[in-house]
Parts: sequence; C-alpha cells; structure tokens
Amino acid sequence: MYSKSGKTETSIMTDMLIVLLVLAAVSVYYYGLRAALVIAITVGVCCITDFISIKLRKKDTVVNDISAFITGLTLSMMLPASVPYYEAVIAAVFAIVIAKQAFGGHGCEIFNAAAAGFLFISLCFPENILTYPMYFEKIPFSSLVPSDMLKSSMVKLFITSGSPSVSAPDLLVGKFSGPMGTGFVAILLVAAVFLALRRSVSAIALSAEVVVSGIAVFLLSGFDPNAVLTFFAGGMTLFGMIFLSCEYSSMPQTRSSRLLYGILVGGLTVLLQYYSKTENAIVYAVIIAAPFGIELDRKALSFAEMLKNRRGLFFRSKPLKHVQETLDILDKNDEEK
Amino acid sequence: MDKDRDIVKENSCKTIIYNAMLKKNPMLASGMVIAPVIMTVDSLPRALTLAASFSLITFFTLLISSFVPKSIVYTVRIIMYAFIGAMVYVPASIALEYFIPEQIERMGIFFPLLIINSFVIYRSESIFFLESKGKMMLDIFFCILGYDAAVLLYGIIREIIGSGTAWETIIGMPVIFSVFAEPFGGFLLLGIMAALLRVVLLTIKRVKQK
Amino acid sequence: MELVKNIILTAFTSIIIENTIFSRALGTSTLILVAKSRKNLFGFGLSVTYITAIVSIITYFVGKIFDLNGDAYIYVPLVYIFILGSVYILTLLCLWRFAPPLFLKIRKYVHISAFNCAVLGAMFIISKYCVTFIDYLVHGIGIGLGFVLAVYMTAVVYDKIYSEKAPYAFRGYPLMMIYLGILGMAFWGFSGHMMNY
Repeated sequence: MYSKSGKTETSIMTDMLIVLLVLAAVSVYYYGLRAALVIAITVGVCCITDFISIKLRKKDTVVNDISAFITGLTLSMMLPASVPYYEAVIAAVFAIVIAKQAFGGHGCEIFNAAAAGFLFISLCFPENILTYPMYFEKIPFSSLVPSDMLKSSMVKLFITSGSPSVSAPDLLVGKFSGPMGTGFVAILLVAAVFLALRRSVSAIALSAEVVVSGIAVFLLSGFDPNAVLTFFAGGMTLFGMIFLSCEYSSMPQTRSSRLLYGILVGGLTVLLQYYSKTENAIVYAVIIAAPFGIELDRKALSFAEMLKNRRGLFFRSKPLKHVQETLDILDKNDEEK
Repeated sequence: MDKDRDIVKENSCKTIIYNAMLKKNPMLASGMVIAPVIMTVDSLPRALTLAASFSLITFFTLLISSFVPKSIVYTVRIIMYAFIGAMVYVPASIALEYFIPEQIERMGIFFPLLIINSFVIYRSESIFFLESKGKMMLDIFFCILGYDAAVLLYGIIREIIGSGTAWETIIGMPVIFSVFAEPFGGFLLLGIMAALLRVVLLTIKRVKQK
Repeated sequence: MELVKNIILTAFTSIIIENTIFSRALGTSTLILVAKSRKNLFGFGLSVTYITAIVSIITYFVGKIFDLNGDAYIYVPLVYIFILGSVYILTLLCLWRFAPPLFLKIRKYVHISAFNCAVLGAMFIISKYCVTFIDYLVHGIGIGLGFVLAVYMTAVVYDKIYSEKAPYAFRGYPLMMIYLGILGMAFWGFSGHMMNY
C-alpha cells in the first residue's frame, strides 16, 4: 500500500531492520552490554505488548509483521544507554498501546509510534532520559545509574552557547554524549543512501528535509560547516529524519506532497531548535507535521482527480511523470473501494 | 439530535439515571465542559471545588433558563441563557468565596468561564427543555451528579499518578508521571479514562445478555 | 521595525505557544462539535476570528473606561456577555439586512462560533495580560486563529479517528482526546522548556 514500483512492505521493513541492527551493533560496541540489555528489553516489551493488544482486539496476528520489532529498535536507539529499565518499558508500552494500537494498529497510526513513546517519557522523566553516559565507559547494570556518570547532551551545549564544541571527525563517528544509536553520522549517511537507492525511504522527502534544514542552519550559524554537522549529529536530527519522518507508514503517498512534507519537517526542526531552544527538535517536528502530511496527500489526490477529469484539456500528449504516478495511486484506490 | 429527542421522550427514571451517570456521562462519554477539568483539576481538593461551583452555577442557570419562552427567536434566546448564567454567577461567586476563597482564586479564569458551558448552550435546547418540568429536574440533577462523580474520579487518579499525592499529602508512589499534571497529560488521561468507560459499558452489556 | 517584530512575536505566541486548545484546552467541547465537517470550516474560522478581533477591541475600550479588575470583578462576566451578545446580534442584523444569502448560509453555525469558551476565555485572558491596543488586537486575532488551527488539525484526521479500524473502546471521542494530548506534547516543545539537566 505504501510502496511503489513493486516493492512490498516486507522488503521495506527488512531494509529498515538491517540498518537498525547495524546501528544497534555499533551502539553495543560503544556503550557495552547494558546497551544490549536496554535494546532487548525495549524490543521485547514492544513485541509482547503488540501481541497482547492484537489478541485483546480479537484480530488475527500476522506472522511476518515486524513493525513492532522495528518500533522497538527505533525507540531503543533514541534512549540513553543508562536509562532505567522501567522507563524503557513505559516508553514501549505507550508507543504500542496508545500511539499504535489505539489508532487501529499497523497502517492506521497517525503519529510515528516510536516518536510518540519517546516524547512521552522525555517529558515524564527528563532527568533520566536527557542525560547520557560517556562512550567506552563501563556502565553498571543497576537500574538507576549513579548521576555523577551522566552528562547533559552535546547538543544542549550547542543550543545554549551557539557554537559547536566537538570536532568534525568525532562527530562523524559519534564520539560525544548523546543517545545510544543516533550519533553515528557516517553510518547514517551510508544508510540514507542505501535506503534511498533501495526506495525504502522517500529520497524526495529526505533530501528536502536535509537541504532545507542544512541551509537554514548554515545561514543562522554564520556560515559554519561544523555547526551544520553538529546540528545533524546531535539532537538525533539525521536519525529522526531517516527513521521517524521518512518512515513508510507516516509518509504521504504522492511525490509533490512528499516534497512539501519534507520542507515542513525541515523548517519546523530548525524553528524549534533555534527559536524555542528545544532539545531533540526533530521528534516534536515529526509529530506536528503528521496531520499536515495526511492533509497534503488528500489535497494532492483531489488535485490529481481534477486533472484527471480534464486530462484531455491539459495533457494532450502525455501527462507529467509525477502526475501520472498520482493518477495510478488514485486508480488503485478506486479499485480497492 | 432528533434521535436523542425520541429517546428522551420514552425515558423512564431508571434509564435517565443510567444514561446520565454512565452511558452518556457528560464528561467521559460526550465530552462536555472539559476545559476546566483539564486545566484546573489536578488534585482532589481542586476537583471538589470544580464540582461544587459547576453544580451550583449550572443547576440554577438551567432551572431559570427553562422559563424563557420558546416564542423568542433562537438568536436572542441563546444570549438570554448566557446572560442568566452571568447573573447566577454573581451570588454563586459570593457564596463560594465566603466558604472556599483560596480554591476559587486558584481556579482563575475557569471559574467565570463556567457560565457558558455546553450544558447551558447546546444541551439545554436539544434535550433538557423538551422534557416535562419534573423529568427535566431529575435529568439535570443526575447529569450534574454524573459529571461531578467523573470529575472527582478524574481528580483522584490524576493526583495519584501525576503528582504522587492524595489530598495533597505525599504517598509513596514508585513512579510519578509528571506529564499527567500538565494540560496535554490531562487530555491523555481523559482519553484513556473514556476508553475504560467504554470497556466497562461493554462488559455490563455482556453480563446483562447472559 | 521594532513594532513589526513585536507583532510577529505576539502573534506567534498567541497562535502557537499559548494555543487555545493545546495549552489552555479552552473550547474543547466546541472543537468536538465543529471538527465533524470540513465543509463549514472556513466560514467557522472566519467568524470566530472576526468575533474575537471585534470583541477584543471593545474590551480594550471598556477596560479603559471602567476599572474591571477591582471590586467589581464579579460583574465582569455580565459585562462580557453583554458585549458578546451585542456584537453577535449587530453582526447578524447587518448580514440579514445587507447580505441575506450569506446570512442564511452562516446561520447554522454562527451561534457555536460566538458562544464558546474560546471566545469568552479570550476576553478574560486578554484583559488580564495585555496592556496596549496593538497587544489586544493581535492577541484577539491570534487566539481566534489558534483555535481555528486546532480545529483544522483535528478535522483533517476526523475520519481516521472515527474509522472502523480503530478499536471500539477508543473510537471517536477517547481517541480525539489522545490525539489532542499527543499533539499538545509536541506543541509544548515550542514553549522552549529547557530542562535543568
């Protein structure tokens, strides 16, 4: 339903899964076995809660539905490695029960489940969720990590002082205080290219987001390339752009609306980070943009329908490519009805 | 709305009470007067304040409003209801400020805003004023009671999980969800409670069928 | 220049940061009624914004003449309802006299757009926090627009919230509250809360 050119939903999710597993492996290398435990708990709780709520709703479980698994992995990548276990559990339960299954389960959700879950606990327990341990440090396995091991994130310093504090090579490999799996810019860049080439995330939306926010930050920071890199690495911006905003279920279907949606998310992120001084601005931006994504899609489809009725008038020879694509989606929707 | 009217005419006392308290609970099923609930009710004392002031203002406003003749144009009628609300507000605020001055002050602008709640503006015309006087009194009374009960329950739950206290004294809660003390948390909690009410109603229905 | 900057900041504050629905929950019951149909949304938005703007101007002058924050505060609702009612009736009379087709069109929802908590709440908020005339006017329009924004964002997903796919326990009203709650969390980000950690 979400894909085009013959890609099935399962293959999109498999691509996502591969990239997320790579990120998980790197984060375990950086933060040790406690990171692995946090990931296992988050993913496990997500899958179990999903299963239970589907059973409670008396629906049939789908065997190859790995969406809960992906939600769990995405969510765990955004947490600090030192997060108390029960808070990871709360985030997973909120994401699956309230943000996903209450709206009708896989394919019907309005908001990205992982983003909603993260937002909920980061507002609930900011003292635990927005403080991070250092990389390559031995983190104790107890639920509450001693607070002298924890620092506020690199991006918070960037927001308050306005100038980047970490050098570019360190930023590329994720050597700064931040969430478990969202700082490895080099890997994320490769992943973005891989996913865009495989058509698992929308290249149009992703590039619109990156270009709009990149240029805005470049201008706002006084032409400092390091500030742009800090913006993308810290505050999980690049990670959020790939896995939260361009994720298959919360994307508009048509190309023109994807472009506008991308611009909206990019602009909102910069606005939130620079004017409202909000940490992890991308998560807020993705949630605010979600209803507008739905609306843009509807507008584009009705516009295409208008064109379709007048196709003889405007497109004597051949309709434009993206209009044709929109029309195909429209025809498909009609058939489904 | 027409459907509601038919139902109202056939109602017996028992169904009126059942509808007002559970099935069509003004707060948890129809979503009426939720602004003051979300903004001011974050503890049991404040829930009591809201319940008292709401009951006082709404009951007398509706009672007096029911005497407004139907022959007046709707446009003017609705202004008269609001005006009656503002009149009732004067003695009500004097009385409440005599007994609970601090709590009323903490309600801020949401106390005077009670005068044009959706009971007075929307529900009065479509349901209450179509019934006979006696039935109307009963219906209004139990609707307000249902609302108050829901507000008190909401206040208790929100206080315990949102700030870890009961009657403003600390009890040892292992986890405190500070989100629920904020306005958006109020929305979330209201949604969850409304869903739970639906589950309860479904269970009652199923038990009855058996 | 300074004035323009101030106006933009005030408008941003009243539309988004202190949004009528997401941060104050004013007029939520009205939102539930109105979000049903997208057909009248534009007209509804226009009339709400118009009424909040006019009413805030009048409130400014009334506030200048009478001292409403003193001992007379228990009569303030009476004054406000009087203002609101007269604006409402005068507008309808003008429309009825000069533009009858519009009057017939607008008649169905105009009472909802005038008598709701968002408009009356706007009057209370404005008279409490604003000082200058520009403040009053921009806040008045901003509160109306913010309310319309929230209604629009809800109307967009109305069919998803009420769809058959959502489980019965959550379908409709409960889901709408959860939707507003999650959006409210995101809008909270605009207020720029910096945690002390």
